[in-house]
Amino acid sequence: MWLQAICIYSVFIIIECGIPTAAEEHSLWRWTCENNRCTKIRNEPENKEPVLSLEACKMFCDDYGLLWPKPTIETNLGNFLSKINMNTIDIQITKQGKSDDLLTAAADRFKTLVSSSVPKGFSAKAAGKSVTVFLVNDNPYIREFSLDMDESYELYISSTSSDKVNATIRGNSFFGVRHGLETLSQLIVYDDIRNNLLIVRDVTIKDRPVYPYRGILLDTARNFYSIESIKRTIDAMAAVKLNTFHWHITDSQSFPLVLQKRPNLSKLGAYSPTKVYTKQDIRDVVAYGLERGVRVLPEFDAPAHVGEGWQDTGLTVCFKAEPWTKFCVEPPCGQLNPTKEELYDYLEDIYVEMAEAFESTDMFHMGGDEVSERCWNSSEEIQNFMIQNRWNLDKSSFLKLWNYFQKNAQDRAYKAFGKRLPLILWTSTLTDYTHVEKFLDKDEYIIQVWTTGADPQIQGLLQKGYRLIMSNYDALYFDCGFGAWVGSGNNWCSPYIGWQKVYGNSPAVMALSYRDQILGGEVALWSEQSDPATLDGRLWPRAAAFAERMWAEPSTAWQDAEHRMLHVRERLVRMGIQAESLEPEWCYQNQGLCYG
Amino acid sequence: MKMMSWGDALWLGLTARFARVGRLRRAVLMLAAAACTAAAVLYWKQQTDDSANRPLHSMYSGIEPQWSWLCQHDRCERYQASDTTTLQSLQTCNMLCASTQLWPQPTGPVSLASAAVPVRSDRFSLKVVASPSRDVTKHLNEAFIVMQNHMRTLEHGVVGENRRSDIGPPRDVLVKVSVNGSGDPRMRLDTNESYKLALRPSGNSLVVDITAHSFCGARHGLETLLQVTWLDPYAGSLLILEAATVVDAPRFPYRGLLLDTARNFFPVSELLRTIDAMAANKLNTFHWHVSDSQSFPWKLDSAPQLAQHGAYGPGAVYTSDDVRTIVKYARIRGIRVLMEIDTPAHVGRAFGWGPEAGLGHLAHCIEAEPWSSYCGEPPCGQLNPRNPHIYDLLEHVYREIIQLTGVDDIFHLGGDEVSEQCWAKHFNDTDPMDLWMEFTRQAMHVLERANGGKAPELTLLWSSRLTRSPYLERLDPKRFGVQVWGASQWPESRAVLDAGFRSVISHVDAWYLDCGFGSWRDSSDGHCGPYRSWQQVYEHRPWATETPESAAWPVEGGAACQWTEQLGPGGLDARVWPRTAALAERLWADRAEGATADVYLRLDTQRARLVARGVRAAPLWPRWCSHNPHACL
Repeated sequence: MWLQAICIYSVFIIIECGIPTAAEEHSLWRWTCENNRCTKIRNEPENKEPVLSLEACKMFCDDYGLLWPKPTIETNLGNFLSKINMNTIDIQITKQGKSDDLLTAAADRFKTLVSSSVPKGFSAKAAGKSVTVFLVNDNPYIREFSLDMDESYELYISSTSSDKVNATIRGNSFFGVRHGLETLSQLIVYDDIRNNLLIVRDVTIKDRPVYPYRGILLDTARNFYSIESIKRTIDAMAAVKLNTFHWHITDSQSFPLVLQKRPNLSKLGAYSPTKVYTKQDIRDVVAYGLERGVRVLPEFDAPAHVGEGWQDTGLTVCFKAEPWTKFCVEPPCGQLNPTKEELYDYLEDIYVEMAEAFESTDMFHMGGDEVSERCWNSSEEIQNFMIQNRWNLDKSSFLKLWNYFQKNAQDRAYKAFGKRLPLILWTSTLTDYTHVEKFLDKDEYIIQVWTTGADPQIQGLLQKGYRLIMSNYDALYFDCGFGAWVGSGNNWCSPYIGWQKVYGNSPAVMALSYRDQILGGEVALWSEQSDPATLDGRLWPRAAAFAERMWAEPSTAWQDAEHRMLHVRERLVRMGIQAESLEPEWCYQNQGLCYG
Repeated sequence: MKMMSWGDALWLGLTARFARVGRLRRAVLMLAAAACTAAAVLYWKQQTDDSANRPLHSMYSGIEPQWSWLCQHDRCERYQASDTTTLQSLQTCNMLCASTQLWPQPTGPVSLASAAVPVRSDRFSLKVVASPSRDVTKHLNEAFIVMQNHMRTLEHGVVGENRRSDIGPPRDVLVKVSVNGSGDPRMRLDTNESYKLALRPSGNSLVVDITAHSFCGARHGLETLLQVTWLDPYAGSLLILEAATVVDAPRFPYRGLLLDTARNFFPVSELLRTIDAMAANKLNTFHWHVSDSQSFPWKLDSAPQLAQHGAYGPGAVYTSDDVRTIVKYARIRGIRVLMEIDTPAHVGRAFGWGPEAGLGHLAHCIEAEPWSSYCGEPPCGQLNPRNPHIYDLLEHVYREIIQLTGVDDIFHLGGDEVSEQCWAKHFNDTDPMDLWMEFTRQAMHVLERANGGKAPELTLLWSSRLTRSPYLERLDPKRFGVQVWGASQWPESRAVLDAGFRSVISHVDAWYLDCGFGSWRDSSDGHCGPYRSWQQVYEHRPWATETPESAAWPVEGGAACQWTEQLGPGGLDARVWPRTAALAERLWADRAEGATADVYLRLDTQRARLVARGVRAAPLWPRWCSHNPHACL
């Protein structure tokens, strides 16, 4: 009952500012909040009730309004909407420090977001209250990413006079304040009946994320992505408070990363001279990410998943070996030869230039995905090396060889980055919990889990004290569900993963009592069957479902989030993201009627 | 190195190639002892001996190409550019190597030169040699401009200064078209879509002869001509095969794509791009499922109330002018626009204004709850078959469809998923199946009236309980055809065909493009998953089963269906393409082979053509596989 009352009050405020317009009278439909859902009804001529637009109705018909991801500590959206003038938004930065430029950039982004909340073909009237936003950053000197950075913020909105609305965002770092601006932008909605922008007037929000690592992996090696499409992805990530863009930049199919010291890698390995990422390109993306609170995390996958680019080095084995099914999981095969001393100089050069390009990263992903012992075993040189070390040629010896590689690579990585930064590896036979501690120190390595959420490895690794990032493929691999590109039928991890499953994929449930060791999770888009043409649709809006799971770890299921989810999809589309449609638009307009 | 004259090359070319149907190998011109340099030499034959002996990459300015592809053992092999003396782009290698690279594969004899010459879009000219009507001539001129514009788009893809100055001057191309047959430019059920194309050098220019029996056939010829023209990124120029002959005709007369614009709205620009991509694949029917229970976006002149009450909003409406634009755009591309207003089910709020207009209930069960009792998906709604006003309204709708689309020989009445429960609730005196049969009869009656007193040659209904025994027997196979959407193994899917109904195949298990994206109402895998890969689309040949009856099935063709509960404008291209291209070849050529290596390579090329046309088609595989043809097969 009280919700219904709220709706009516809120509209009362809207129309208080002006007499009903012609548009309002001619609007055929209006929405009203009944039983926690917005119902579409005919706007009869004799109607005396205020005419609510869909978004205005939704803002008060749910405890979390149209917010995504939902705040975790306190959310009070009050009862009122005020008409505002988009041209009079003023942003004041009250504390000075070395992150000011970032805050200024975030403020600019905020203004862009507000203008994109007006749907295409409409224009908001330049009338209504003026808005002043005060940004209070209690630690204006912090601009570095870290796993324990403080992303919390508080947001207050109130109306001080009949023509003014004040919003205050307070945070312990730029990152938190920036999130607050995202939230504020979600509290401004467009009224398509009267062509006004409205803001929620009396707001208290206190918020912080549950998990510190909330990422998206993009593979730019199987198919190439333009810098522009990567930036667009980061834009969308920032809108749902994701904070890590994991750049799987190379693989056996191509090597688009341009290195000054080792120019041949991209010269021989890129798909074409224009399909490359220069150091400047990457720095540009890194800076773009920083302004949006998104770390750009480099991965250099090794010792497997290499091939193109390394042709002339003599440092690989089984490159393009046939039949490929014997030596790798997809063509072309290729693996580094760990016995070559020169290899580690090569790696160091790569790492050094990655450290220079990915200048703001606080972590480094070393890959370690899908190493084939058969591939190594096909090389006489490697066999001889192992025999000299008095290893035999069994499984455990190849693990020793891999470990030998990893130790050497690790030293070079530390040297290149100039610090002992956290390192990340994919789950593999090396990270098997029964012996992982023999190879990898839990204080040095973070394990990224890609096997299913039910894999006993998860509990095993947690019990041994390892920190995990969850990318269990059964819920977070967004390339699944399409036709196989080698062989017949559908691809290996089919079926397609619907957003509901993504939303329900809870690391807390998998971790049980070891929840503190879960750093977060990551969605992965492997690009065998994806390129800029499919990018937005594959990632969005499913990655938004993931974002709320990571930010809030809600105890509720997708059903409670469905209508906010449909709205965040609309928001993404207005931002220029070609997000897929989840349901007929009818379901968006008729809340609660598309049940299963 | 001795250069061969045009005359020699042509002579060799024409005498050396005798292609057979089904095995379309190009004859390799043995122009030089070093076979690997033959192609490059051929298209630079205008250059002097001196420049031909220079390493080819020294002729480039700007970014130096990284790779060179050479045709060896009928495959394009990739080399580091610095390792070879011959520089050839992947596109050119593909075009000059073993595969025809044509899509869909022509059904008659084909012979293609393995040499290319430079051309420029503005050096193409059209000469209509014979035309049965002024209308056909006008359409030919417009279709020619469409082709030229596509060439121009390709030319705009030249990046920077990566342009050779010495590949020789572009040739003039004279396109001579003769149409001997129908003076009606529309795509009709009896349209003869066959064409012949002959491309040959003549002096310093090229002459193309396209002969056909209809405008649509001639247009297909232009599409094929466009496919033997490509942008060579290394040369920075369009190249064209220097000689080609193609004899071609489709296996099935109906080759369609259904797009549902009711579950989610798609702007006109999306529809136009889709139609253009269809033309690139010689599809001929844009089945526009314009309305459904969720929305009614088409604002008819004769019944504007439908969109007023049924559209998602003022920005989600198609006007009559929009429809005209779409129809005209499609007609120049040899495509009929088949508009479907699905009835009596799959209607909604658009029909809710009857009582206030004094017409009584035009529909029942509108948004009835619980929906699962009255329809297949929310919201429910079904026309009121006992209200005579509904037939007046349908007559208006049908008349406007026929007027706007100009399609009067084929019509789609809908007839999908009628809920017997809905009608049973309101009419307890009659069997709902009888109501349905009676509705269909009356709809057919007003359709005849709307069509000037004549029934269309083929009126389609969706397969349903009405098209199953014992109701099927009550339908006249001379008037009705069936679009069969049930799974190919369902007995009723076959029964329709066995009974002699002309049919359009849209089997859900092969040609429903919306499947495989999870459910939109719960977290299950969805009602028709998994995803249909392009290979599955391609390999579906239900008429080629082992049963003796199937040989006699009156199959008109097929259509891929893109229902849009889970699709908005942004995702359209990647969902539809290149899978619908796979369908296009199935219906055009119906090759007995499945997705063989050659199909992968040609489809990959066709995908690149679509991308160049501005269609955001999904990639088949990592680009590495395109660069290393055969390595991923």
